[in-house]
Amino acid sequence: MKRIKVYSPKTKVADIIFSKPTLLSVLERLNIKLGFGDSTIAQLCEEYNLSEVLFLDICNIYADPLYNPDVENLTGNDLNILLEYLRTSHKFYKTKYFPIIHNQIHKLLMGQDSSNEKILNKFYDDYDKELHTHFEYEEKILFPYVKSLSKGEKLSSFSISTYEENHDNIEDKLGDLKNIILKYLPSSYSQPLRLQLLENIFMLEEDILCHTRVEDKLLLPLIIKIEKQLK
Amino acid sequence: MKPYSNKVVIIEPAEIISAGLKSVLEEEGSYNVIKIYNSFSHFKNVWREENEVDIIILNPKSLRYDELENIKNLVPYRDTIIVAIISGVYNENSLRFFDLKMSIDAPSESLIKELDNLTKNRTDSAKTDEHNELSVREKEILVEVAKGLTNKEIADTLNISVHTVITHRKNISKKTGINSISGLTVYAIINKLVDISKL
Repeated sequence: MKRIKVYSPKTKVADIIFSKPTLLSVLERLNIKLGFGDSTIAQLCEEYNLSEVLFLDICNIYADPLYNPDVENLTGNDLNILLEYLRTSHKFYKTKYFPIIHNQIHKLLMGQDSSNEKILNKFYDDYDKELHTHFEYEEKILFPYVKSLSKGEKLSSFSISTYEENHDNIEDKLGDLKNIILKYLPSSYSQPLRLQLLENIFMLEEDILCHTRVEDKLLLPLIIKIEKQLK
Repeated sequence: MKPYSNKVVIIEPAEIISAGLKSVLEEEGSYNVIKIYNSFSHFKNVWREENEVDIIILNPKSLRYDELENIKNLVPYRDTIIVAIISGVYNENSLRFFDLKMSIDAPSESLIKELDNLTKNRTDSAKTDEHNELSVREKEILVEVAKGLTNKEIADTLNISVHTVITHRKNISKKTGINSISGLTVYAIINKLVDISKL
């Protein structure tokens, strides 16, 4: 079933942010400066030399979990922009979200029950390692392959089916962490720290879900399409 | 997502009736008749705790009076829906512990409709169940999971089947909202079910 697009080129950029604040992170990752007044998406894309179709697809994927983009009109150049977007996205997770959550967990657990501190820190550190392995795989194996595709070449060392095998769920353990922090840690732990931590986990989770949707619904189909063209 | 199909057991001496029930239920799609028994005693003898069952449809004639009175305790799961399938005259009072009484003459659509209502109520109440406390058995299993034992090892230690261990683990995750082994380990430590030195 084809779904109606939520946003169109004539939508004002400010309006998409008001309707879906998570999209702020998309602007940030595409290096779009705030203060754009009443610019529409079409105007903004022209100014930043972005593909309108790609920008709209990303925004619509963020806004609507069931939105299915049509990659027919996307090109190798779009693949390149998408790649930069995903790279920056990884950088943000690694330099912003993960360290913040990591520090907040350490701070929250400090000075109370030492078993809880030890086991929960270990839980998060292990998860942190998993995330880094996951990202490293994409950056070292997948992204160079995508880069070659965007230039019209095809590295023979890689096939998209191995990627799909390795692409495991990274948001599952965040669900566990949410439950632990919200429901099971005794009420003696600092309430303000706990609330801040939870807010950050919710934000990260939402962002990772959108990020994964961009990979699954935009990146993968586009790779497959371009692979076929190069055969 | 694949829709859940309710597991049904039929206990009915007349083969032609049980076969008819089976075909009516399975045609509808959300019911799956996993086993047919011709007597209640046969069912009791061979049924194992780890075999989940959502609905038992039985002919009350296959039960003794004391079994009728005690029917809720005789089935393996407390929340199993018990349906009496009745032919001829019956004593209303003797069937008061059944969740549903259906006459054999009733149209098949009404049986499905009544069952749909019952199963729907049950899933709704399971969702809003506030008592998510783990059972003693579930806690035992959780401790073994936290220690890093595999399902097979847990089954051997507690002398139960692997299938039972898996069912318990599913319920533990459903109740706690925690799915990963490392997350369950954290839960076990925080709730002091196991000491960190034992891991």
